[in-house]
Parts: sequence; C-alpha cells; structure tokens
Amino acid sequence: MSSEAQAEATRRDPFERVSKSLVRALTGKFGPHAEDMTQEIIMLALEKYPNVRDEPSLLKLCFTTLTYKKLEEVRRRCRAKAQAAGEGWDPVDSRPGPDRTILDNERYRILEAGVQQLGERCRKIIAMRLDEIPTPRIAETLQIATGTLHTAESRCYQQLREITSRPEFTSRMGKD
Amino acid sequence: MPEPRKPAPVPAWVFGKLSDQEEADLMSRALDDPALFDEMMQANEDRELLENPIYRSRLKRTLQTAAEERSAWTALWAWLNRPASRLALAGVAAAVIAVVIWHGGGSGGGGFKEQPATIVTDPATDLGTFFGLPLRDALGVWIELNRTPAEFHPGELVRATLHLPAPAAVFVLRRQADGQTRMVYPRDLSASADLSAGDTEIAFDPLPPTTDVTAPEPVRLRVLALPVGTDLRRGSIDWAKLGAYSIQEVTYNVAP
Repeated sequence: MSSEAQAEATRRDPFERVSKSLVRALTGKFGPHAEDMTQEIIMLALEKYPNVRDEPSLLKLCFTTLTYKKLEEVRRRCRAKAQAAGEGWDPVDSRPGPDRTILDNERYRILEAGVQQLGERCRKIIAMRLDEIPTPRIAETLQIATGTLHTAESRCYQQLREITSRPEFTSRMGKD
Repeated sequence: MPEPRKPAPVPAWVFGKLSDQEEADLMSRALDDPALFDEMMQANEDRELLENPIYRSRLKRTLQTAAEERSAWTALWAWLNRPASRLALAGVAAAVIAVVIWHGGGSGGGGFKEQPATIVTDPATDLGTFFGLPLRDALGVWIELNRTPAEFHPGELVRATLHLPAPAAVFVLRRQADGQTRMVYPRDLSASADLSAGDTEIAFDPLPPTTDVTAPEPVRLRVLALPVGTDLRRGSIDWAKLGAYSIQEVTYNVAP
C-alpha cells in the first residue's frame, strides 16, 4: 500500500490494520466468530484505554485481552454444546476458573521442562529477561551486539518450541 | 537469494520487558508482517503465562537453582584442577587402593567406575570421529547461525558468527544425515585455524554443491575450539591431555 493510500485508510478507520490482522489470525481457530471476537477485543481495549490513538499501542493492549477473550469464546461454545445436549450449565462466567488454572499449570510445567533442556547460554539469557534487565545491558553482559542478541534469543525460543512440541510433551497436554 | 529476515525481539517480549520504544517498534513491525504477527499470536500464550507473577518467579527460581548447581560443579572442577588438590586426591586414591589390595579386593562388588577412554586423533582420523566426542564449553565459545529459522536451500550460503572470549584454534565440521563429514572452516589446509578473541563471520555451503536434496535434511555443525597453535589437520592430539577446549554443536535444516 502506498503511503498516501495508507494515510487515507488510516483516516477512515484508524485501527483497520489491527482489526484485519486479528481477524486473519483468529479465523483459523474461530472461523466465522473471528470478526466478532476482534471487535470485542478492540472495544474492550478502547473502553479501558480511551486515549489510545495509534495502532501499535492498541495492538499491545489487544494482545493483553486476547487470551481472556479466547477463553471466553471457548467457554461460550462449550455452553452452547451443553445446552444443545440438554445439560443444565451455569451461565458464562468470564473470571478465570479451575479449568484455566489446571491448563496454565500444565502449560507452565511444559515450559519449565523445555527451558531446562536448553543450552546454558539460552537459559542465561532467559534468566536475564525474566529479571527484566534491559536489552542493551544483556548485550553488554554477553559482549555481543543487540542484533546478535535478538538472533540468539530467536534461536533459543525456536529450540524451546521444538522441544515442547515433541510428543512426550504434547501428549501430556493431550491427557488432560 | 532472499535477504534473511532480521529477528524481531519476540522472545524478549515473552520473557522480559521491552522498553516502550522496542515494544512500539515490535507492534509496528507485526502490523506490517503477517508472519511476525502470527508468531506473536503463538508466543502470546507463553507471555500471558509468564505475566502471572507466580509462574514467573517459579521459572526464575528454577533457572537460578540450576545455575547454582552448575557453579558448584564448576567450583569443584576448578578445585580438582589445582595441582595441590590433585596431589591430595592422588594420596587418598593411593590409600584406598592400598586398603583394597591389603584386604584382597573384598567381595568384588565395589570396584572403581570405568573412566572414559582417552582418544588420540591424528590427521588421518576420520572427521566423523569428532562428532563422537562429548560436548564441553571450557572456553565459552559460541556459534550462531545468522538466520532464523535455521533453514537453508541448496545454492545459498550458511553464514554464522563465531564468538570467542579468548584466542583459540577453531575448526568447524559439518555432518550430513548420511554421515558424510567435511571441514567447512578453515576452508583449506593452508589457512590458519587460529583466531583472536571476538566475533568472526564464516560462510559455507549448507551441503556439498553436488548433493541432490529431495527432502528436508538435518545437518549438524560442530565447532572445535582448541588451544592456539593446535591443529587437528597437522598433528596428533591426545584429547585427555589437551587442557581447556570447547566442543559446541548446532543444527540446521537443508530443504529442497
């Protein structure tokens, strides 16, 4: 898109790119509900932070509300199924429930086990990130450029994803 | 050849706290790059999990405990490497052996653990042998492929950065899935393997140019960093007596 066309599109809908990106990313999992979910996510973000005017800031907020909304949608579907089957389920409660806690605990155990299998340098970088040490200081500690640090981190994270997607890890999630 | 994508700080966003500017840049990039957006959508679950202070502190504690255990081992190893400590240990070992011999070896159930076999290599040694040596990191050497994900195609060049905290003689070996092994650094016998401390960029073919790639193939890359002046292409090496050295390994994929 040319910069003029982009400026025009931004004038018409200041958050068009955010909503399009979210719809595209959510469609795979939520199909026709993706658009409604996107609207709800954006509305919620704007309701909480009405002064947000730029897309990067809005996207940042959307990521924060995303999981909450996804969970709500999954619960809504479960409820609809249960109602169709004649089961008397309670109305949807959007607060985190025991199902979320169990799922999070299992996801944490997998993440922790995966991190422990990473090499020493990866673990060191992750430890510094968890301590919220700024990027330039981490790079300085490791005596590397920040670009090199990002490359190293990407490789570590890719390794972590490879490790945690192995059958011995994924089957643990499947069992619950 | 397509330009490798500059990695976005997604892992930093997941595990740590980006500065406002870094975060704004990341979000802007995500809006322009659907692949990055998807990557962040996937990573967001881990990020959300680690925003919970309970999980965050648990992971920090786990990493800290592991680091402390490692440093305890490192301290023990350093102590064992001191001549005085070795002398003391040798004395204890001699006393134990004397007691065992004096008592006729006891019931035979409590022997010593077998030590790993010492390896001596020379210029005629098959390069595959070096992939049998255990990994170690006495020199703190690190190799990093300058592409994420680490996937290459025939005809491209693998570019990597070697990080050396101290000068070392460095050899990089590439091993294909079928066992074919080749030295990719130094490129030829006349080139010196000695490198000074700092970062060194190297480049090589992902596979021999004549290889026919029909399916994705994993390739192992082994970095051997030895004391300066050591050359496994020219002399024999007794690995048990070599002193401080590093052997590190990374893998990449070659796809058709």
